[in-house]
Amino acid sequence: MNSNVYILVGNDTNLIDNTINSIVSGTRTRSESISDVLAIVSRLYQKSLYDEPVTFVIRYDLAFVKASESDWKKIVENKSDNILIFIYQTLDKRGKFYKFFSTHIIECMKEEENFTYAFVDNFCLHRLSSVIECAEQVKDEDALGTFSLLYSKVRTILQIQDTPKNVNIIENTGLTNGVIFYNKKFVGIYDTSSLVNILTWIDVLTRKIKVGALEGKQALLFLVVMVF
Amino acid sequence: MDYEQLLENIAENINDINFGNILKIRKYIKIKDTDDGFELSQFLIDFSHVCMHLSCEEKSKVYAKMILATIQALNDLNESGANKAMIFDMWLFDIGRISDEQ
Repeated sequence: MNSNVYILVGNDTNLIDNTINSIVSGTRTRSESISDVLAIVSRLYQKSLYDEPVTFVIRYDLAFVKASESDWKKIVENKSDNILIFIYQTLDKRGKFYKFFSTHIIECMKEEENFTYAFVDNFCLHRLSSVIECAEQVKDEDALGTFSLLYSKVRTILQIQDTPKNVNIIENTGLTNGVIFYNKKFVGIYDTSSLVNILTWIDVLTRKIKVGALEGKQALLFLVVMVF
Repeated sequence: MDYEQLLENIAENINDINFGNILKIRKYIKIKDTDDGFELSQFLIDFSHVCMHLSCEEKSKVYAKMILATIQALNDLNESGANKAMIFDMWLFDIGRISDEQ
């Protein structure tokens, strides 16, 4: 496949602009914005009038996403020195287009700080101030997901912790080596009955959220108060 | 181990199993559609029947308490948005904690 085709997907406009700039300067081309790539297919196969290859920047050309596979082939099989940079905010990863161009795609997503994982880790490490800080940052709508992740982690810790020393943990629990290795640092921080207590509280609070008796964030803080 | 024997083993021995190992029982249950295992509601109903027989045979309060905990789990399963995996774990903890002295 032609490596002169790039597809930038994401919402991080700075990252997208920087990527375009580095491609343009790295290839010593001049850039030109177009809206419809299929309208300039013939130009791709021509030498530039100035003998200077062009970087075509094509933003949100949805017609091209819906075009036929033969049209896509025309683009990737273009052997000129011209460069094509397509920009899309999102693409369906299950779609034919994504699969066809998968090796050309560069993800440019804005990273959002994930407080769910931080909450879970700090909770399992019994770090009170950090866990409260994280609980306040988790959005209400993410609370059920946070509880679910915490439940599964605490359950894993309980299984590892409660396996007798002379017994093989993998055989006993059915957990993978990687999961056991990663979670070993959380083992022994809570005693077994506290871990069972945490699981029970998560069950209770999850139900309270589902019936609307508690807001998500409230429930997370409630758990912290009950356990710490 | 056949199905009935599994149910009897759980009822008779769960008090002696540590909590970490209790959770292993979940592998016999179909939580997701893609899982192999016994259908959860039916498993709980069958478990309560086994407890009923054991209760008659052994005259122990433990099995009556297990039936109550099982009825609670069956009720919980009927709640909208019920999380089968959590309900099953909680049920295991509940019946694991039951003793004659309570």
